Amino acid sequence: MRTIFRALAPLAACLALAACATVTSAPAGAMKVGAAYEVALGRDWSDISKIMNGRTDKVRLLSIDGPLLNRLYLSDGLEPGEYLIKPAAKETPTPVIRRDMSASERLEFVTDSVVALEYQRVQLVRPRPAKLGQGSGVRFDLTAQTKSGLDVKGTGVISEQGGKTYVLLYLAPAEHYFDANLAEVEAIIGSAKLG
Amino acid sequence: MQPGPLGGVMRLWGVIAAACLLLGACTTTNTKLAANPTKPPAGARIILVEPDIELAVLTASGVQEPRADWTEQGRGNVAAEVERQMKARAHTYRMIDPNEAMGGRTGQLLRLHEAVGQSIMMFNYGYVSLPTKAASFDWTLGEGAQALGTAYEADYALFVHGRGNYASGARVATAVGLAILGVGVPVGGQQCFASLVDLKTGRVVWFNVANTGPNDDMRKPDGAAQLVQAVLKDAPL
Repeated sequence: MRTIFRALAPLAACLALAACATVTSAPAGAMKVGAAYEVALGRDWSDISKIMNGRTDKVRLLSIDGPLLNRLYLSDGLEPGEYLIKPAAKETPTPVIRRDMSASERLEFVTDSVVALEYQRVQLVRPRPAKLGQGSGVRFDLTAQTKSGLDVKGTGVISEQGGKTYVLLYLAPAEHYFDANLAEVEAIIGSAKLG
Repeated sequence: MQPGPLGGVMRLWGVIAAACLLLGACTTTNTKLAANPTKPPAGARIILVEPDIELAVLTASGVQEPRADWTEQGRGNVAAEVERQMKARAHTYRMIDPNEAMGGRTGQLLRLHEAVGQSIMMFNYGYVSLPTKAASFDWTLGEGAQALGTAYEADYALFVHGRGNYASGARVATAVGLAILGVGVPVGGQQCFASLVDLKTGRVVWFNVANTGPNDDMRKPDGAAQLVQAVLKDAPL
């Protein structure tokens, strides 16, 4: 218990709480993720992209209750050499997209990216064929733990279309928070329009 | 003997430095209440989760080094004071050792409370706020919190967390020396938060943060009493 605060500190440190950083509203309705990619939000979210370290211009990060309680990563098409989680330092590289990745390598990219977020015991479960927009992809669920031992669940989809990789990843504590917004996330995945 | 111009300036900075050190002793609190909070009725059963305290020494270079002995002292003093204050109220209570409750669902709920508490600190007391949380103070552990109530036959849970650091002698000397040159240097302080959770709904019905200077030192019983008094001020208990 006493280690929990210390364990949560790295997550808290992920916040780039610069005075100029802002959190904006992502209102219910259509939201553009990229030039040719949009999803429909069923409720208002907060766009916390600008206060989080480790994100890139191609990744939007949404939350309802803050990143410790729910976070939804939406990446625009990632090209070879690009990442979902930007490395904090050269010494701590994060997974990058490679050309001609197999389906299993793309799933590994997801789990390794979650590990890069300092989650532990990351396990991918139930990979299954799925659609993202009109293209094919792989749906997956995952389980993980924070350093303090809080169980976390995730779900998402990864899809390669036109040489670019699209990732939608939702993470939240298994206790209450994951299920509380799962239907909303499923609807967002189903609403994706690409191209 | 009249002080020279430089001596006057130095004396002025000395006064400012002393004032800064004294200002650090002020205690401030900031309470948040859930919308339509329900005050625990007389006789409500409350579990007190043993306070989570961590104390450190602030070195001359500004690095915080955890001190297990201070932490133990602080935890004991704060726990004793929380219990003393609860005795004066019309509720039944019991203290639980979180180390014994960290397994299974109760452990997950205690960990979730930590994440919720951290989120409250970030977005209700930090530099940024969430548009999705702007309308009201609305935080919860979810209805799964009933599992904690069932396990400990309780209606509410009270959590207290404290963090503090205290300047080493070298740090104080550095602070005074730099104050004379017009540079402010932190000499430590303590921050404590308390939250009251309704175990039927999981809602955080009350939350308070107390910031104190190093003088209300929780390593000493009197300092812990001041701090706990501040953080439990206005608690709907």
